[in-house]
Amino acid sequence: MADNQGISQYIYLYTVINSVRLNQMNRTNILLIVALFIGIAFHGSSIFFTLESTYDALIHLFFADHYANSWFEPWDYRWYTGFTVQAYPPLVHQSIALLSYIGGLKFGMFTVALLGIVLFITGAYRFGLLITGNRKVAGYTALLAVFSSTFVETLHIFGQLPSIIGLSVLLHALPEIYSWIKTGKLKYLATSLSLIAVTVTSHHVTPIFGMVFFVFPLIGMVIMDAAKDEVHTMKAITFKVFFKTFKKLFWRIVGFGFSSLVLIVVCILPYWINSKKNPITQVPIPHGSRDNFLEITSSGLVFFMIPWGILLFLLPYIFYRYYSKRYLFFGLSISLLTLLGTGGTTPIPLKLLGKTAFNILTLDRFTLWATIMALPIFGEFVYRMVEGDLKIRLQERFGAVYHRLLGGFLAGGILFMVIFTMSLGYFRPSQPDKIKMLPIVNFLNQDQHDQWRYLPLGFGDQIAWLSAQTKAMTVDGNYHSARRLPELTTRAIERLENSKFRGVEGIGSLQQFLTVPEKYNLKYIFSNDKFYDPILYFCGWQRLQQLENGIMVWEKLNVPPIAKTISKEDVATYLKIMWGIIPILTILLAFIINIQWGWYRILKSKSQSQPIYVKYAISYNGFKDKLITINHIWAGLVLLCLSYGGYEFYIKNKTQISPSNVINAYYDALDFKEFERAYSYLDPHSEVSLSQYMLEVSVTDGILSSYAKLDSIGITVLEETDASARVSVTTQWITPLEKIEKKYVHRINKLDGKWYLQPSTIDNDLPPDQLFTSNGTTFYNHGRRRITTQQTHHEDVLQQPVLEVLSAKLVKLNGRYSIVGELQNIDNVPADVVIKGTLYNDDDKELATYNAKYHMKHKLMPKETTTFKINFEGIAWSSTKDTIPPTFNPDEFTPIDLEEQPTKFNLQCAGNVANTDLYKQVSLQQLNFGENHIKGVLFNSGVQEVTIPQLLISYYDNEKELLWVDHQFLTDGVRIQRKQYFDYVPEHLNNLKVINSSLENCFVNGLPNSQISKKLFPDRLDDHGKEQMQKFSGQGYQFLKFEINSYIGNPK
Amino acid sequence: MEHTSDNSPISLTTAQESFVAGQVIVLKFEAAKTKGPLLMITNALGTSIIEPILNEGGIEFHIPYQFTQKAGLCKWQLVRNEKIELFGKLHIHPGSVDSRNIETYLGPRSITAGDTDFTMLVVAPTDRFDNPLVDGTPVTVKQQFEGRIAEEDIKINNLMAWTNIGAPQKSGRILATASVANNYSKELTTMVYPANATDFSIDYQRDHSYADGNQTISFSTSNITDQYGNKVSDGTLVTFMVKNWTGALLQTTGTTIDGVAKAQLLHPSQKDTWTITAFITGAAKSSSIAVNFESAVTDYQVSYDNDKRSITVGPIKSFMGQQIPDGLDIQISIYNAQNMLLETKHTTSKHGFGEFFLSPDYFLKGKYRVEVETAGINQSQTLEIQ
Repeated sequence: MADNQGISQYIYLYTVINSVRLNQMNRTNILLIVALFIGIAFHGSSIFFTLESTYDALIHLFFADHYANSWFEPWDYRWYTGFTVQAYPPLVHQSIALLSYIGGLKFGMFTVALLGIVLFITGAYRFGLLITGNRKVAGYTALLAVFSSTFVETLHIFGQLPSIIGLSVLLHALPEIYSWIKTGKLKYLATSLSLIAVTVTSHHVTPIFGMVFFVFPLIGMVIMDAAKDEVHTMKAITFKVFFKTFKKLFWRIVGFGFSSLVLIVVCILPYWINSKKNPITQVPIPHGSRDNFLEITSSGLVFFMIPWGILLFLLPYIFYRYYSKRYLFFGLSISLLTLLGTGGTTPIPLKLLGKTAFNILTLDRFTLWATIMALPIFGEFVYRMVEGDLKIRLQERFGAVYHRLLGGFLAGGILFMVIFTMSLGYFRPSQPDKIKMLPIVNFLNQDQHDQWRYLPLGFGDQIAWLSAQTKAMTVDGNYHSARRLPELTTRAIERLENSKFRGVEGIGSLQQFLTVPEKYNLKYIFSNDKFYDPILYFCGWQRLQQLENGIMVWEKLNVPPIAKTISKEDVATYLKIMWGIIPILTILLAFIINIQWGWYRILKSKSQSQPIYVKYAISYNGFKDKLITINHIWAGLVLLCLSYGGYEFYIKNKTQISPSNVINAYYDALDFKEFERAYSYLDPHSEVSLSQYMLEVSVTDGILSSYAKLDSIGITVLEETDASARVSVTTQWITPLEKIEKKYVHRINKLDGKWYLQPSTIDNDLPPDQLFTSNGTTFYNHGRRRITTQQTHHEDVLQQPVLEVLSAKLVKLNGRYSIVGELQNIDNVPADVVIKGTLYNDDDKELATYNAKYHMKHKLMPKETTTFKINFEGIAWSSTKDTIPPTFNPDEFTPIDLEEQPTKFNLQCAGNVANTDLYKQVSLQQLNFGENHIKGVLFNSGVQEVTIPQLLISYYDNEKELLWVDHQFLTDGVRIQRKQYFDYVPEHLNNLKVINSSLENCFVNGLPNSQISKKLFPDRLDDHGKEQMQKFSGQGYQFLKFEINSYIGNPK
Repeated sequence: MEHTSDNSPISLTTAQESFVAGQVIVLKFEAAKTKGPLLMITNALGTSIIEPILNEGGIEFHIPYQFTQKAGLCKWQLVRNEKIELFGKLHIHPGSVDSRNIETYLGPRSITAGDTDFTMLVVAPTDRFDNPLVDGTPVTVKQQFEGRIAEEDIKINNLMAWTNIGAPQKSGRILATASVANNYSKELTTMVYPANATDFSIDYQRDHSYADGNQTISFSTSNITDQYGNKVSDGTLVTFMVKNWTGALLQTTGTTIDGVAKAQLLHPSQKDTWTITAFITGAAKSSSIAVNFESAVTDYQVSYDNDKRSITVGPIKSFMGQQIPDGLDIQISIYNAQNMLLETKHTTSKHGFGEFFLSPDYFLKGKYRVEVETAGINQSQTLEIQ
C-alpha cells in the first residue's frame, strides 16, 4: 500500500502543478479538480475489476514482461515461433516494465493506467481551453471527459493503454503547438516537440493520424486567429487575408511540421525499419469496426452507439459550432472522422482509405478521435445549458421545468451510457472466466516440459498473461501483426486459441497445427474448452492429466524437443540501443521541459501571462432559436430511430409470437445448453415432463449435442394454419471436426397466442442387462522410474513398437492427391501411430509433406490394422502462394493445379507405446445395402460411453487391392449396451487413378519396412485381410471394409 | 617472461615411464640453471605448459592431476629458448575397475520368442577416473531365465565387451548382469514376448436361441498360443467376422487376456444364420462356426382406429408369449393408390406395441396401402383414411 501512497502523492502533485500552471496563478479551477477527483476515484478503482478482462491490456503486459527481462533485445521467442517487439512502439510497455521492478507487472500496468486517466482528464481540459478559450467551459470539458462513454469503452472494455496515453499527450501538445505558431517563441516549439515525441513512442498511429486530424485543423485555427488580429473581426477574414497570414506563419508551420516529422521517424526508427523489412503479410482479419453497422447491430452498438453515446443527440450543435469560421478546419476533420468511423456501413471509408489501410486499421479509432474532438463543444454546450445563454433561451421559450427536465435527461443519459458501457463486460463477457495460471506455469516448469512448445485453447486474451509468466514458447500469440508463420498469416483468424469463433476456417487452421505438430515442436495443449477435445483425439493427441485449475493437458507423442539454438532475425546494435533508450528519454525530456519549468516558475512566484488563445474566447449570448429547433428535431429523430431499433429487437427476440421465432429460440436454447428454457418451448399438453425431458437430454451424447456450435439456421414453413404449422429446419453446425448439416421437421401448435413445439419421439431401446461385467487389458507407462533432472535414463525409455506397412499407394481422385494404405501394429504392446507422407516428382524434388489426420486409427492394439489416408492440404505444399485455397474448408478441397506432378512418395511411420484411448468394444451389428446407401447399426458392448463413433470405410478393386479410404463421423454417440444407426453414402471412384503403388520408400521408426516384414512377420498370410472384405459393387470398386474408431468424451 | 640465451646442459633424471592413472607424476631434470625451461605436455585431454619448480641440483615438473588421471599416452617436450631440448613419453595405464562404473546396456528391451531374435549386452567397465580398462580384461556375463542362470566369459576389446543373448522359445523375462573382477553391474532386463499366434478355435455362448434383438451373444476363442506354446500377449486384437444370411459381414472385436479373447454382439431381430470366423490378421485364423437364430416373434396384429389415422402394431409377443423387450424396430411404409411410396416411418416398440399417426396435414382422405415390417415379418393392408 506504500506504493499506492506514492502514486497518490504523485498524482496530487501533478494535479496541483498542472492546475496551478494552467490557471497561471489564478484561482485553481474547481471543475478540473472535481473532474480529476471523480475521475481517479471512479476509473482508478474500477480498473482493478475491468482492465484484466479487456481485449488489449494483457497483451501490453506481455510486452512489458519482455522488456523487464531483456530490455535491449527485441526478439521474443515465446509467441509465433519468435517475433520482434519492435513491431509496436515501446514506451507504455517499457514504463510498465520499469514499474514492475518495484511492484510486479500488474502494479506497473495499473499505475500506467492511472497515469493515463490523469493525463486524459487534464489533456481534455487543456484541449477545451485551447478550443474555447474559456476556463469554465474547459472545466466542463474535463468533467464530461471523465464520463464520456468513448473513454470508458476504450479503457474498460478495450484496454488500449498506449492509445489513451498517446492521445492524451497529443491533447497536451496541442496548446503548445498553437502557442508556437502564434507567438514564434522557441520555448513553445520545445514543449510541443517534447510532447509529440512522447506521443510517437507510445503509439504509432496516433501521431500520424493526429497530425492529419488534430494538428492540421489546429494550424488552420491559428491562421484564422492571426488573420483576425489583422482585420479585427472574424467576418472580415477573406481567403486573401487567410492566405496572407498563412504566408506569414509559413516558416513556423514548416518548422514544426518538419521537426515533428523527424521525431516521428527517428524516435521509433527501429519500428519503421522493421515494418519495411517485415511488411504485414497477414490476410485481413475481420474486425467489428469494419462491419456494416446496420446489418451487424452488435458491432454498431460497440463501435458507434457506445462511443458516441449521448453526443448523438447533440450532433447538429457540434457540427454547427465546428463549421463556424474559426473552427472550419476542425469541422472538416470531425466530419471526416465521423464518416470513417462508420466502417463498412457505407462504401465511403473503404474508398477513402484504400483497401490495404481499410483492412489493417481498426476503424473504431476514428470514432474515438471524433468523440474526443467533440468534447470541448460538448463542454461548451453543457456550460451554456447549465449557466449560460441556452439556459435563458430555454427557460424563456419552454419554461423552467422543461429546462430542468432536459438537463435531467442529459445527465441521466450520460450516467446510463457510463453504467451500460461498464456493465457490458459483466453481462456479455468477452473473456472466459479468469484462469488460475499457477498450475500451468508449474506444469511447464516441471520435468522439462518447457522444452516443447505449448498451445492454450479457449483462454481468450489471458493467453498473454500465461505467456508473461513462463519462458515456454507457444505457436500462438496475441499480436497478429507480428506473425511470421504462413500457416497463420494466410488465415483470417485472430488466434488459434479461439479458432472456433472463426468457424470452419478457424478450425481448419488449427487442424494444420494439430496434424503436423512436430513441425512446430508442439507437444502440449492446455484445453479450457472441451469443444476442441474431439479434434485433438482424432488428430492423434491424448489426454495427459487434468490440472487442479480444471485445465486439461493433452500431449502428442513422437514430437522432438525444440533445438537448443533457434534462429532469430537480428537487428543492428544501434537500433537496439535506440529502441531501449529513446522512449524513456522522451519522457524524461518532456518532464523536464514541461513540468520542471512550470514548477520553477511557481516556486519563483513569477506571474505569467495568460495563454495566448484565451484571447479568442467568444462571449456566449444569444443562443440561436433556429439551432434549438433543429437540435430538437434531430434529437427526436434519434429517439425515433432508437425506439424503432428497440422494437425490432423486441420482435426478433420475442420467442413465441411466430413459428420461426419459437424454432429460433428453441435451437438457441439448445445451442447454449439451456435445456430448461428449451423445454419451455415444448407443448405443455404433451406428456413429456421437465424431468423426463432433462433426462432424455442428459443421456444423449455425441458430436452434435456436446461439441457443436449452431452456425446458421434456415427455416421453411411447410404448412401453416392459424393453430398449427409444420416447419422444416435446416441447421448448420460447426463442430470441431467438420461442418454438419442436419435437417429436422417440427410440428408446431399455437396455444393461447403462443407457439409451441411438439416434442419428438425417443428411442425405447432397453438394454438386456442391469449389471454386467467386462474384462480388458489396461496399460501403464511409468515415464521416468528414476527421479532425475537429467535426461531420462535409457532403461526408462520404452522401445518403439514395431509397425508394418501392408500396402501404400499414391492415388489421384478428382484432381487431388492422396496416399492411401494399410498398416499393422505387429508388436506386443499398443502403439500410437504417426504417419508422415511426402510427395516427390520424377526428378525427386520434394513437393509436399503432410501427416495422416483423421483417416486412420491413431491408437492400435497389438496386431490391429488400420487403413489410412493422407490428404495434402494447402500449407503442406512447398510453394504456398498459388496453392492455398482462398477459404479453407476441411470438407471441401481446392484441387491443386501443379505443373509438377507427384509420381513417388515416401512414408515415415513412427510408433510409440500408447496406454490410453484403446477402447475397441464397438461392433458392427447390422448392415443393409441399398442403391446408394449403406445403412447399419453399431453396438457398444463395453463399459465406456462412446461420444463420437467414427467409421473408416476402405474401398478395394476386384483384386481386393486398396483404392481409397473415406470416413464418417456419426452425429450421435453410442451408449453402453445400446445401438446407434448410421447411413453412409458410398463414394464414386470412377475417376480414381492409382499413380504409384509401392512399399519401397516406406519406413517404420526409421527402418525400411521390407526388413521389418522379413524379420518379424516372415510368413504373413495375406488372405486374412481379404477375407474380411465386404462384397459391394459400387462405382469403380468391388469390395468395402468397415473399421470403427471411438472417441470417448468422458472416460470412466 | 624473459629468457636469457642459455646452452647449459640439461637431462632427465626420472626413469619411470609407466604409471597408473591417478598416480602423482613428477618429472625431474638435472640442470645448471633453473630459469628458462618449460615443459609442454600433450595427451588426450589436450596440451598444457608447466612451469618448473626449483629443487636441489635441478628442476622438477609436477604434471597436473587432470593429465595424470587420463589413461593413455602422454607426450612431453622440454622447451628452452623456443627450442625443444628434450622430449619423451609417459604411459599412463588405467587403474582397477570401479564397481560404480561398470556401464552396461541391454537392447532391444523386448525380443520375440523363437530361434532368431536376440538382444545385445554391452559392457564398458572403467576405472575410477572413467578410463576404459585395457583390452583383454575378462568380463563375466550372467543371465537368468526361468530360474536357470547361465554364465559366459568375454573379454574387453576396443574399450568394451559385448555379447548377444539369444531369445528362448518361451516367453518371459531375461535378467542380465556383468562383472569384472568381482565387481558387478546393475540388473538389466529384457522381455521375451511370444511369437506370432497360430490358428485357434472359437466358441459362442448365449442364453437362448431366439432372435429377439435384445440379448447378447458372446464369442470366445480357445487359448491362443504361438508355435512354442506361449500364450499370445495380453491385449492382442482378435476380429470376429460374422456373415449373416444376406451375405453382410458384421464384425466385433476383442482383446486377449491370458490367451483368450471375448467379444459380443446383440442377437439379430429376425431369423438368421450366422457364420463366424475370427482373425488375428496376417498371423492366425480360427475355424468357422455357425449359429442359428430362430424367430422370437411369429406373428403380430396391426389395428386401426375409426378414422384409420392411428395405427397400432402389436401386441408383439416373444417366444414365450411375453411382450417383446422394448426397443424392437418397427417400420411402416405408406403407399398411395398408385402404389407409389409416400413415406417410411420408424418407431421402437414399448410394452410390446408400436404406434403411428398419419397426420391429416400430410395424408389427405383417400385410399392407401400400409406395409408394416418388424422382426422380419411383413404385413400389408389397404385402408381408407376418413
